[in-house]
Amino acid sequence: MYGTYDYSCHIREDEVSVDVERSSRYLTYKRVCRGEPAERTIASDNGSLIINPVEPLNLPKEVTRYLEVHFNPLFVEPETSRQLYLTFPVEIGVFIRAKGDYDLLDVFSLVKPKYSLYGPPDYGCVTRWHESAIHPDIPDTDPLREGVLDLTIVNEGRTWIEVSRAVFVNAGMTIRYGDYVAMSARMEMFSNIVAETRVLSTPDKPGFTWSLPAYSAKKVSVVEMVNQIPFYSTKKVFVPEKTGFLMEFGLGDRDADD
Amino acid sequence: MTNSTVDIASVFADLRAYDILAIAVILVIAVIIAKIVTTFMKRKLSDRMEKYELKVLIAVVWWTIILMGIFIASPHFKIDLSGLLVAGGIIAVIIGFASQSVVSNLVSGIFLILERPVKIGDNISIGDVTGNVEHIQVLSTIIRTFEGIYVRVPNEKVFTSNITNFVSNVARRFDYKIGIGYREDATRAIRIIQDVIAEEPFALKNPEPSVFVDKLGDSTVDIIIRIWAPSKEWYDLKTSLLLKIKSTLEANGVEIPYPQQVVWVQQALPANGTRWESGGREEDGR
Repeated sequence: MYGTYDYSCHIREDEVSVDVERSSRYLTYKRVCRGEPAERTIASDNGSLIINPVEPLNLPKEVTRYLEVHFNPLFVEPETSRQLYLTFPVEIGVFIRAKGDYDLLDVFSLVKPKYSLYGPPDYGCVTRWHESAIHPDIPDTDPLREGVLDLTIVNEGRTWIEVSRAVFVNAGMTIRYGDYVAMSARMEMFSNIVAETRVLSTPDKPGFTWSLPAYSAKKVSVVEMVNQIPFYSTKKVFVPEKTGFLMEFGLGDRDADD
Repeated sequence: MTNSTVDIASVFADLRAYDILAIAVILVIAVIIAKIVTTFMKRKLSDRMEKYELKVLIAVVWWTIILMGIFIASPHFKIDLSGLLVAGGIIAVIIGFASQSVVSNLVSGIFLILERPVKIGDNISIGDVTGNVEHIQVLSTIIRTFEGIYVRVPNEKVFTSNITNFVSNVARRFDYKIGIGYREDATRAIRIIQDVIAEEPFALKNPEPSVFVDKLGDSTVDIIIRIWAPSKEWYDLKTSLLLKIKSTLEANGVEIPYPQQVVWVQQALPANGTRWESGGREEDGR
Protein backbone atom coordinates (compact mmCIF):
# COMPACT_ATOMS: atom_id res chain seq x y z
CA MET A 1 0.00 0.00 0.00
CA TYR A 2 2.81 2.41 0.80
CA GLY A 3 4.11 4.49 -2.07
CA THR A 4 3.27 7.32 -4.47
CA TYR A 5 0.15 7.22 -6.59
CA ASP A 6 -1.41 9.44 -9.22
CA TYR A 7 -4.97 10.72 -9.12
CA SER A 8 -6.47 7.60 -10.67
CA CYS A 9 -5.58 5.19 -7.92
CA HIS A 10 -7.78 2.43 -6.56
CA ILE A 11 -6.16 0.55 -3.71
CA ARG A 12 -7.53 -2.49 -1.91
CA GLU A 13 -5.49 -4.09 0.82
CA ASP A 14 -6.46 -5.82 4.03
CA GLU A 15 -9.43 -3.94 5.47
CA VAL A 16 -8.55 -0.71 3.65
CA SER A 17 -9.72 0.74 0.37
CA VAL A 18 -8.58 4.05 -1.12
CA ASP A 19 -10.10 5.52 -4.27
CA VAL A 20 -9.78 8.83 -6.05
CA GLU A 21 -12.62 9.65 -8.40
CA ARG A 22 -12.45 12.47 -10.90
CA SER A 23 -15.49 14.59 -11.69
CA SER A 24 -15.59 17.54 -14.06
CA ARG A 25 -13.95 20.03 -11.69
CA TYR A 26 -12.96 18.22 -8.55
CA LEU A 27 -11.41 15.03 -7.31
CA THR A 28 -13.06 13.01 -4.61
CA TYR A 29 -10.86 11.03 -2.27
CA LYS A 30 -12.69 8.13 -0.61
CA ARG A 31 -11.24 5.86 2.00
CA VAL A 32 -12.74 3.04 4.01
CA CYS A 33 -10.77 1.53 6.89
CA ARG A 34 -12.36 -1.27 8.89
CA GLY A 35 -15.74 -0.11 7.68
CA GLU A 36 -15.14 3.48 8.71
CA PRO A 37 -15.46 5.82 5.70
CA ALA A 38 -13.81 9.18 5.04
CA GLU A 39 -14.19 11.51 2.09
CA ARG A 40 -12.29 14.60 0.94
CA THR A 41 -12.84 16.88 -2.04
CA ILE A 42 -9.70 18.04 -3.81
CA ALA A 43 -9.24 20.93 -6.23
CA SER A 44 -6.12 19.96 -8.13
CA ASP A 45 -5.14 19.19 -11.70
CA ASN A 46 -1.79 17.51 -11.45
CA GLY A 47 -0.43 16.03 -8.32
CA SER A 48 0.03 12.82 -6.45
CA LEU A 49 -0.93 10.98 -3.33
CA ILE A 50 1.76 9.70 -1.02
CA ILE A 51 0.72 6.95 1.36
CA ASN A 52 3.18 6.07 4.10
CA PRO A 53 3.31 5.12 7.76
CA VAL A 54 3.30 8.11 10.11
CA GLU A 55 3.98 8.49 13.79
CA PRO A 56 1.08 6.94 15.73
CA LEU A 57 -0.05 10.07 17.53
CA ASN A 58 -2.96 11.33 15.48
CA LEU A 59 -5.95 9.11 16.21
CA PRO A 60 -8.72 9.34 17.20
CA LYS A 61 -7.50 12.90 17.64
CA GLU A 62 -4.17 14.47 18.44
CA VAL A 63 -3.84 14.76 22.22
CA THR A 64 -0.18 14.10 22.80
CA ARG A 65 3.32 14.21 21.33
CA TYR A 66 4.57 11.13 23.16
CA LEU A 67 4.68 7.45 22.30
CA GLU A 68 5.13 4.96 25.14
CA VAL A 69 6.20 1.42 24.40
CA HIS A 70 5.70 -0.95 27.30
CA PHE A 71 7.41 -4.33 27.49
CA ASN A 72 8.20 -7.07 29.98
CA PRO A 73 10.69 -5.94 32.63
CA LEU A 74 14.28 -6.19 31.48
CA PHE A 75 17.16 -6.12 33.97
CA VAL A 76 20.19 -4.39 32.54
CA GLU A 77 23.68 -4.83 33.93
CA PRO A 78 25.61 -1.70 34.99
CA GLU A 79 27.62 0.09 32.31
CA THR A 80 26.46 -2.08 29.47
CA SER A 81 24.31 -1.76 26.37
CA ARG A 82 22.03 -4.08 24.42
CA GLN A 83 20.15 -3.91 21.19
CA LEU A 84 16.61 -5.21 21.19
CA TYR A 85 13.66 -5.13 18.88
CA LEU A 86 10.24 -3.93 19.94
CA THR A 87 7.13 -3.12 17.97
CA PHE A 88 5.23 0.12 17.68
CA PRO A 89 1.75 0.87 16.30
CA VAL A 90 1.44 2.28 12.82
CA GLU A 91 -0.90 4.92 11.55
CA ILE A 92 -1.21 5.39 7.82
CA GLY A 93 -0.92 8.91 6.46
CA VAL A 94 -2.18 10.02 3.07
CA PHE A 95 -0.44 13.16 1.80
CA ILE A 96 -1.37 15.16 -1.24
CA ARG A 97 1.46 16.76 -3.16
CA ALA A 98 1.51 19.27 -6.00
CA LYS A 99 3.94 21.96 -7.14
CA GLY A 100 6.52 21.08 -4.53
CA ASP A 101 4.15 21.46 -1.57
CA TYR A 102 2.35 18.78 0.34
CA ASP A 103 -0.24 18.46 3.06
CA LEU A 104 -1.73 15.71 5.15
CA LEU A 105 -5.04 14.64 3.64
CA ASP A 106 -6.03 11.73 5.84
CA VAL A 107 -4.79 9.51 8.65
CA PHE A 108 -6.24 6.13 9.52
CA SER A 109 -5.15 3.00 11.28
CA LEU A 110 -5.94 -0.67 11.56
CA VAL A 111 -4.76 -0.58 15.17
CA LYS A 112 -7.03 0.52 17.99
CA PRO A 113 -5.33 3.35 19.86
CA LYS A 114 -4.89 3.44 23.61
CA TYR A 115 -3.53 6.25 25.73
CA SER A 116 -1.83 6.36 29.09
CA LEU A 117 -0.21 8.76 31.52
CA TYR A 118 3.52 8.83 32.11
CA GLY A 119 4.28 10.48 35.44
CA PRO A 120 1.89 12.19 37.85
CA PRO A 121 -1.26 13.95 36.64
CA ASP A 122 0.15 17.42 37.32
CA TYR A 123 3.62 17.19 35.78
CA GLY A 124 3.41 14.04 33.67
CA CYS A 125 2.40 13.66 30.06
CA VAL A 126 -0.29 11.77 28.22
CA THR A 127 1.21 9.10 25.98
CA ARG A 128 0.06 6.86 23.16
CA TRP A 129 0.46 3.45 24.77
CA HIS A 130 1.60 0.28 23.08
CA GLU A 131 2.44 -3.13 24.52
CA SER A 132 5.28 -4.98 22.86
CA ALA A 133 7.18 -8.18 23.33
CA ILE A 134 10.98 -8.06 23.41
CA HIS A 135 12.49 -9.66 20.32
CA PRO A 136 16.16 -10.56 19.94
CA ASP A 137 15.88 -10.32 16.15
CA ILE A 138 13.72 -8.38 13.72
CA PRO A 139 10.22 -9.77 14.25
CA ASP A 140 7.71 -10.52 11.54
CA THR A 141 5.15 -7.74 11.54
CA ASP A 142 2.24 -6.61 9.44
CA PRO A 143 3.48 -3.29 7.99
CA LEU A 144 -0.05 -1.90 8.00
CA ARG A 145 -0.37 -2.50 11.72
CA GLU A 146 3.00 -2.53 13.43
CA GLY A 147 6.50 -1.30 12.90
CA VAL A 148 9.81 -2.57 14.23
CA LEU A 149 11.57 -0.39 16.77
CA ASP A 150 15.30 -1.04 16.82
CA LEU A 151 16.18 0.13 20.33
CA THR A 152 19.62 0.34 21.81
CA ILE A 153 19.47 0.59 25.57
CA VAL A 154 22.49 1.78 27.48
CA ASN A 155 22.87 1.52 31.24
CA GLU A 156 25.10 4.47 32.07
CA GLY A 157 24.82 3.91 35.80
CA ARG A 158 26.70 1.71 38.22
CA THR A 159 23.67 -0.21 39.42
CA TRP A 160 21.33 -2.71 37.83
CA ILE A 161 18.37 -1.07 36.18
CA GLU A 162 14.95 -2.58 35.60
CA VAL A 163 13.29 -1.12 32.54
CA SER A 164 9.86 -1.87 31.11
CA ARG A 165 8.92 1.27 29.22
CA ALA A 166 10.34 3.73 26.78
CA VAL A 167 8.77 7.08 25.95
CA PHE A 168 9.61 8.95 22.75
CA VAL A 169 8.67 12.44 21.62
CA ASN A 170 7.31 12.95 18.12
CA ALA A 171 9.95 15.53 17.18
CA GLY A 172 12.47 13.73 15.05
CA MET A 173 10.40 10.53 15.00
CA THR A 174 11.64 9.36 11.66
CA ILE A 175 10.01 6.26 10.20
CA ARG A 176 11.16 4.21 7.22
CA TYR A 177 9.28 1.63 5.24
CA GLY A 178 10.33 -1.22 3.00
CA ASP A 179 9.83 -4.90 3.77
CA TYR A 180 8.67 -3.70 7.12
CA VAL A 181 8.11 -0.36 8.88
CA ALA A 182 11.16 0.64 10.89
CA MET A 183 12.25 3.15 13.48
CA SER A 184 15.57 3.31 15.33
CA ALA A 185 16.04 4.73 18.80
CA ARG A 186 18.49 4.91 21.65
CA MET A 187 17.74 4.97 25.35
CA GLU A 188 20.40 6.06 27.82
CA MET A 189 19.49 5.10 31.37
CA PHE A 190 21.09 6.92 34.26
CA SER A 191 19.13 5.34 37.12
CA ASN A 192 15.89 3.48 37.76
CA ILE A 193 14.14 6.83 37.51
CA VAL A 194 15.85 8.81 34.77
CA ALA A 195 16.67 8.06 31.14
CA GLU A 196 16.92 9.95 27.90
CA THR A 197 15.40 8.60 24.72
CA ARG A 198 16.10 9.73 21.19
CA VAL A 199 14.78 8.54 17.84
CA LEU A 200 17.72 8.24 15.48
CA SER A 201 17.97 9.27 11.88
CA THR A 202 20.33 6.50 10.92
CA PRO A 203 21.82 6.32 7.43
CA ASP A 204 19.70 5.16 4.54
CA LYS A 205 18.95 1.45 4.40
CA PRO A 206 18.81 -0.23 1.01
CA GLY A 207 15.23 -0.94 -0.01
CA PHE A 208 13.79 1.48 2.54
CA THR A 209 12.14 4.86 1.99
CA TRP A 210 11.81 7.65 4.52
CA SER A 211 8.22 8.44 5.48
CA LEU A 212 6.81 11.93 5.37
CA PRO A 213 6.00 12.73 9.00
CA ALA A 214 2.60 14.09 9.95
CA TYR A 215 3.79 16.24 12.84
CA SER A 216 6.42 18.66 11.61
CA ALA A 217 4.88 20.00 8.46
CA LYS A 218 5.04 23.58 9.64
CA LYS A 219 4.77 26.47 7.27
CA VAL A 220 7.74 28.78 7.77
CA SER A 221 9.33 31.41 5.64
CA VAL A 222 12.17 30.18 3.52
CA VAL A 223 14.65 32.34 1.68
CA GLU A 224 16.24 30.68 -1.31
CA MET A 225 18.80 32.20 -3.65
CA VAL A 226 17.59 31.70 -7.23
CA ASN A 227 20.12 33.05 -9.74
CA GLN A 228 21.61 35.10 -6.89
CA ILE A 229 18.23 36.75 -6.29
CA PRO A 230 16.60 36.11 -2.92
CA PHE A 231 13.33 34.28 -3.43
CA TYR A 232 10.94 34.37 -0.50
CA SER A 233 8.41 31.59 -0.10
CA THR A 234 6.62 29.50 2.47
CA LYS A 235 7.41 25.84 2.44
CA LYS A 236 6.94 22.94 4.75
CA VAL A 237 10.31 22.28 6.24
CA PHE A 238 11.45 20.16 9.09
CA VAL A 239 11.89 22.58 11.92
CA PRO A 240 14.74 21.42 14.12
CA GLU A 241 13.39 20.84 17.59
CA LYS A 242 14.64 19.21 20.72
CA THR A 243 14.51 15.61 19.60
CA GLY A 244 15.35 13.82 22.84
CA PHE A 245 12.97 13.13 25.68
CA LEU A 246 13.98 12.99 29.31
CA MET A 247 12.13 10.24 31.13
CA GLU A 248 12.19 11.44 34.71
CA PHE A 249 9.25 9.59 36.22
CA GLY A 250 10.68 6.11 36.23
CA LEU A 251 11.55 3.38 33.79
CA GLY A 252 9.59 0.49 35.27
CA ASP A 253 6.11 -0.42 36.39
CA ARG A 254 7.02 -0.28 40.04
CA ASP A 255 7.98 3.39 39.69
CA ALA A 256 4.71 4.10 37.94
CA ASP A 257 2.72 2.55 40.75
CA ASP A 258 4.53 4.51 43.44
CA MET B 1 6.33 84.08 31.71
CA THR B 2 9.39 86.24 31.94
CA ASN B 3 9.59 85.72 35.71
CA SER B 4 9.42 81.96 35.40
CA THR B 5 12.11 82.06 32.74
CA VAL B 6 14.24 84.14 35.04
CA ASP B 7 13.52 81.78 37.94
CA ILE B 8 14.52 78.70 35.97
CA ALA B 9 17.59 80.50 34.71
CA SER B 10 18.48 81.47 38.26
CA VAL B 11 17.96 77.89 39.42
CA PHE B 12 20.37 76.58 36.83
CA ALA B 13 22.77 79.43 37.62
CA ASP B 14 22.87 78.34 41.26
CA LEU B 15 23.78 74.75 40.38
CA ARG B 16 27.29 73.68 41.14
CA ALA B 17 29.24 71.15 39.18
CA TYR B 18 28.67 68.63 41.96
CA ASP B 19 24.90 69.01 41.74
CA ILE B 20 24.93 68.71 37.98
CA LEU B 21 27.02 65.57 38.26
CA ALA B 22 24.72 64.12 40.93
CA ILE B 23 21.60 64.88 38.88
CA ALA B 24 23.16 63.31 35.81
CA VAL B 25 24.24 60.19 37.71
CA ILE B 26 20.81 59.76 39.35
CA LEU B 27 18.97 60.20 36.07
CA VAL B 28 21.32 57.84 34.24
CA ILE B 29 20.85 55.23 36.98
CA ALA B 30 17.05 55.74 36.76
CA VAL B 31 17.16 55.26 33.00
CA ILE B 32 19.32 52.12 33.36
CA ILE B 33 16.97 50.66 36.00
CA ALA B 34 13.95 51.51 33.85
CA LYS B 35 15.61 49.88 30.86
CA ILE B 36 16.45 46.72 32.83
CA VAL B 37 12.98 46.45 34.35
CA THR B 38 11.14 47.05 31.07
CA THR B 39 13.40 44.65 29.18
CA PHE B 40 12.72 42.02 31.85
CA MET B 41 8.99 42.70 31.54
CA LYS B 42 9.16 42.38 27.76
CA ARG B 43 10.91 39.03 28.01
CA LYS B 44 8.63 37.63 30.67
CA LEU B 45 5.29 39.02 29.58
CA SER B 46 5.42 39.24 25.80
CA ASP B 47 3.84 35.80 25.39
CA ARG B 48 1.38 36.31 28.21
CA MET B 49 -0.13 39.71 27.45
CA GLU B 50 -1.64 41.51 24.55
CA LYS B 51 0.96 43.60 22.73
CA TYR B 52 -0.92 46.87 23.28
CA GLU B 53 -1.50 46.21 26.98
CA LEU B 54 2.14 45.32 27.48
CA LYS B 55 3.19 48.52 25.72
CA VAL B 56 1.00 50.62 28.02
CA LEU B 57 2.20 48.77 31.11
CA ILE B 58 5.84 49.19 30.11
CA ALA B 59 5.30 52.93 29.50
CA VAL B 60 3.71 53.31 32.93
CA VAL B 61 6.57 51.47 34.63
CA TRP B 62 9.18 53.38 32.62
CA TRP B 63 7.81 56.82 33.54
CA THR B 64 7.24 55.84 37.16
CA ILE B 65 10.90 54.93 37.52
CA ILE B 66 12.05 58.07 35.68
CA LEU B 67 9.81 60.29 37.85
CA MET B 68 11.17 58.60 40.96
CA GLY B 69 14.68 59.40 39.68
CA ILE B 70 13.72 63.05 39.14
CA PHE B 71 12.18 63.16 42.60
CA ILE B 72 15.35 61.73 44.17
CA ALA B 73 17.47 64.19 42.20
CA SER B 74 15.24 67.16 43.03
CA PRO B 75 17.22 68.36 46.13
CA HIS B 76 20.15 69.05 43.84
CA PHE B 77 17.97 71.44 41.79
CA LYS B 78 17.76 73.75 44.86
CA ILE B 79 14.00 73.87 44.42
CA ASP B 80 11.73 74.00 47.41
CA LEU B 81 9.38 71.07 46.81
CA SER B 82 7.40 71.47 50.02
CA GLY B 83 4.51 73.24 48.24
CA LEU B 84 4.59 70.71 45.47
CA LEU B 85 4.62 67.88 47.98
CA VAL B 86 1.52 69.21 49.75
CA ALA B 87 -0.33 69.65 46.48
CA GLY B 88 0.94 66.33 45.25
CA GLY B 89 -0.11 64.66 48.47
CA ILE B 90 -3.65 65.98 48.21
CA ILE B 91 -3.87 64.96 44.58
CA ALA B 92 -2.45 61.55 45.42
CA VAL B 93 -5.08 61.02 48.13
CA ILE B 94 -7.87 62.01 45.73
CA ILE B 95 -6.51 59.82 42.95
CA GLY B 96 -5.89 57.03 45.43
CA PHE B 97 -9.49 56.99 46.59
CA ALA B 98 -10.81 57.33 43.07
CA SER B 99 -8.65 54.62 41.58
CA GLN B 100 -8.49 52.21 44.49
CA SER B 101 -10.31 49.41 42.69
CA VAL B 102 -8.52 50.13 39.42
CA VAL B 103 -5.11 49.87 41.05
CA SER B 104 -6.20 46.77 42.95
CA ASN B 105 -7.35 45.14 39.71
CA LEU B 106 -4.16 46.23 37.95
CA VAL B 107 -1.89 44.77 40.60
CA SER B 108 -3.99 41.60 40.75
CA GLY B 109 -3.79 41.35 36.97
CA ILE B 110 0.00 41.64 37.02
CA PHE B 111 0.24 38.92 39.66
CA LEU B 112 -2.19 36.73 37.71
CA ILE B 113 -0.08 37.15 34.59
CA LEU B 114 3.09 36.29 36.50
CA GLU B 115 1.67 33.42 38.57
CA ARG B 116 -0.48 32.05 35.74
CA PRO B 117 -3.01 30.01 37.69
CA VAL B 118 -5.13 30.13 34.55
CA LYS B 119 -4.28 30.32 30.87
CA ILE B 120 -6.29 31.31 27.84
CA GLY B 121 -8.41 28.35 26.81
CA ASP B 122 -8.49 26.80 30.27
CA ASN B 123 -11.73 25.44 31.60
CA ILE B 124 -12.14 27.07 35.01
CA SER B 125 -14.55 27.93 37.77
CA ILE B 126 -14.27 31.18 39.73
CA GLY B 127 -16.99 31.77 42.29
CA ASP B 128 -20.24 31.08 40.52
CA VAL B 129 -18.77 31.52 37.03
CA THR B 130 -17.70 28.44 35.11
CA GLY B 131 -16.42 28.43 31.56
CA ASN B 132 -13.45 28.85 29.26
CA VAL B 133 -10.92 31.66 29.70
CA GLU B 134 -11.12 33.82 26.60
CA HIS B 135 -8.79 36.64 27.57
CA ILE B 136 -6.61 37.73 30.47
CA GLN B 137 -6.32 41.51 30.49
CA VAL B 138 -4.53 43.82 32.87
CA LEU B 139 -7.73 44.78 34.69
CA SER B 140 -10.08 41.88 34.05
CA THR B 141 -10.40 38.30 32.89
CA ILE B 142 -12.93 37.38 30.22
CA ILE B 143 -14.72 34.06 30.56
CA ARG B 144 -17.08 32.47 28.06
CA THR B 145 -19.49 30.27 29.93
CA PHE B 146 -20.58 26.93 28.52
CA GLU B 147 -23.83 28.61 27.48
CA GLY B 148 -21.79 31.03 25.38
CA ILE B 149 -22.27 34.00 27.72
CA TYR B 150 -19.57 36.68 27.94
CA VAL B 151 -18.56 37.30 31.57
CA ARG B 152 -16.02 39.92 32.63
CA VAL B 153 -14.51 39.13 36.03
CA PRO B 154 -12.38 41.87 37.68
CA ASN B 155 -8.88 40.59 38.29
CA GLU B 156 -9.11 41.40 41.99
CA LYS B 157 -11.96 38.90 42.29
CA VAL B 158 -10.06 36.33 40.25
CA PHE B 159 -6.98 36.80 42.41
CA THR B 160 -8.79 36.58 45.74
CA SER B 161 -11.24 33.80 44.82
CA ASN B 162 -10.75 30.08 44.88
CA ILE B 163 -9.94 29.12 41.30
CA THR B 164 -10.76 25.63 40.10
CA ASN B 165 -8.83 24.89 36.92
CA PHE B 166 -10.27 21.75 35.39
CA VAL B 167 -7.52 21.33 32.80
CA SER B 168 -4.44 22.49 34.65
CA ASN B 169 -3.32 18.89 35.13
CA VAL B 170 -2.86 16.76 32.05
CA ALA B 171 -5.20 14.05 33.31
CA ARG B 172 -8.17 13.85 35.64
CA ARG B 173 -10.46 11.22 37.03
CA PHE B 174 -14.20 10.78 36.87
CA ASP B 175 -16.46 8.28 38.61
CA TYR B 176 -19.63 6.38 37.85
CA LYS B 177 -21.85 4.38 40.18
CA ILE B 178 -23.86 1.57 38.64
CA GLY B 179 -26.27 -0.65 40.53
CA ILE B 180 -26.86 -4.21 39.35
CA GLY B 181 -29.46 -6.66 40.61
CA TYR B 182 -28.72 -8.93 43.53
CA ARG B 183 -29.25 -11.97 41.33
CA GLU B 184 -26.47 -10.90 38.93
CA ASP B 185 -22.89 -12.17 39.02
CA ALA B 186 -21.00 -9.06 40.16
CA THR B 187 -17.63 -10.50 39.09
CA ARG B 188 -18.92 -11.00 35.57
CA ALA B 189 -20.45 -7.53 35.49
CA ILE B 190 -17.12 -6.03 36.58
CA ARG B 191 -15.31 -7.92 33.83
CA ILE B 192 -17.79 -6.67 31.22
CA ILE B 193 -17.32 -3.09 32.42
CA GLN B 194 -13.53 -3.46 32.34
CA ASP B 195 -13.71 -4.72 28.75
CA VAL B 196 -15.80 -1.71 27.70
CA ILE B 197 -13.30 0.65 29.35
CA ALA B 198 -10.37 -1.14 27.70
CA GLU B 199 -11.88 -0.43 24.28
CA GLU B 200 -11.95 3.32 24.91
CA PRO B 201 -8.79 5.02 23.60
CA PHE B 202 -8.93 7.90 26.07
CA ALA B 203 -9.70 5.81 29.17
CA LEU B 204 -6.09 5.83 30.31
CA LYS B 205 -4.19 2.60 30.73
CA ASN B 206 -2.22 4.14 33.57
CA PRO B 207 -3.45 5.12 36.16
CA GLU B 208 -5.39 1.93 35.81
CA PRO B 209 -9.20 2.15 35.82
CA SER B 210 -10.72 0.91 39.03
CA VAL B 211 -13.98 -1.08 39.08
CA PHE B 212 -15.20 -2.56 42.36
CA VAL B 213 -18.27 -3.38 44.44
CA ASP B 214 -18.72 -0.44 46.77
CA LYS B 215 -21.93 -1.10 48.63
CA LEU B 216 -24.75 -3.57 49.04
CA GLY B 217 -27.61 -1.11 48.59
CA ASP B 218 -31.31 -1.38 49.27
CA SER B 219 -32.16 -2.44 45.75
CA THR B 220 -28.84 -3.03 44.02
CA VAL B 221 -25.24 -4.09 44.36
CA ASP B 222 -23.45 -0.79 43.76
CA ILE B 223 -20.38 -0.88 41.55
CA ILE B 224 -18.04 2.10 41.50
CA ILE B 225 -16.07 2.84 38.32
CA ARG B 226 -13.11 5.21 38.42
CA ILE B 227 -11.48 6.22 35.15
CA TRP B 228 -8.62 8.60 34.36
CA ALA B 229 -8.74 10.51 31.08
CA PRO B 230 -6.75 13.30 29.43
CA SER B 231 -8.13 16.56 30.82
CA LYS B 232 -9.04 17.81 27.37
CA GLU B 233 -11.05 14.68 26.63
CA TRP B 234 -12.58 13.74 29.95
CA TYR B 235 -15.93 15.42 29.39
CA ASP B 236 -16.55 13.77 26.02
CA LEU B 237 -15.52 10.44 27.46
CA LYS B 238 -17.63 10.85 30.57
CA THR B 239 -20.74 11.73 28.61
CA SER B 240 -20.38 8.86 26.15
CA LEU B 241 -19.00 5.98 28.16
CA LEU B 242 -21.83 5.49 30.65
CA LEU B 243 -24.31 4.74 27.87
CA LYS B 244 -21.89 2.20 26.37
CA ILE B 245 -21.50 0.48 29.73
CA LYS B 246 -25.27 0.38 30.27
CA SER B 247 -25.92 -0.97 26.76
CA THR B 248 -23.21 -3.61 27.06
CA LEU B 249 -24.42 -4.75 30.47
CA GLU B 250 -27.98 -5.05 29.18
CA ALA B 251 -26.79 -6.84 26.04
CA ASN B 252 -25.08 -9.36 28.30
CA GLY B 253 -28.22 -9.85 30.34
CA VAL B 254 -27.07 -7.97 33.42
CA GLU B 255 -30.05 -6.26 35.01
CA ILE B 256 -29.83 -2.66 36.21
CA PRO B 257 -32.98 -2.67 38.34
CA TYR B 258 -35.32 0.10 39.40
CA PRO B 259 -35.44 0.89 43.12
CA GLN B 260 -37.49 -1.92 44.59
CA GLN B 261 -38.65 -3.37 47.87
CA VAL B 262 -39.17 -7.10 48.37
CA VAL B 263 -42.06 -7.88 50.73
CA TRP B 264 -42.23 -11.34 52.27
CA VAL B 265 -45.63 -12.54 53.47
CA GLN B 266 -45.44 -15.27 56.07
CA GLN B 267 -48.65 -17.05 54.99
CA ALA B 268 -50.72 -17.13 51.86
CA LEU B 269 -53.27 -14.34 51.48
CA PRO B 270 -56.83 -15.48 52.21
CA ALA B 271 -59.61 -15.64 49.65
CA ASN B 272 -62.25 -12.90 49.46
CA GLY B 273 -64.58 -12.72 52.42
CA THR B 274 -62.17 -14.43 54.77
CA ARG B 275 -60.91 -12.47 57.75
CA TRP B 276 -57.77 -13.21 59.66
CA GLU B 277 -57.43 -12.78 63.35
CA SER B 278 -54.26 -12.40 65.25
CA GLY B 279 -52.70 -15.81 65.70
CA GLY B 280 -53.74 -16.87 62.21
CA ARG B 281 -57.12 -18.39 63.06
CA GLU B 282 -59.51 -18.28 60.11
CA GLU B 283 -63.04 -16.98 60.53
CA ASP B 284 -65.95 -16.70 58.22
CA GLY B 285 -66.70 -13.03 57.52
CA ARG B 286 -70.27 -13.44 56.67
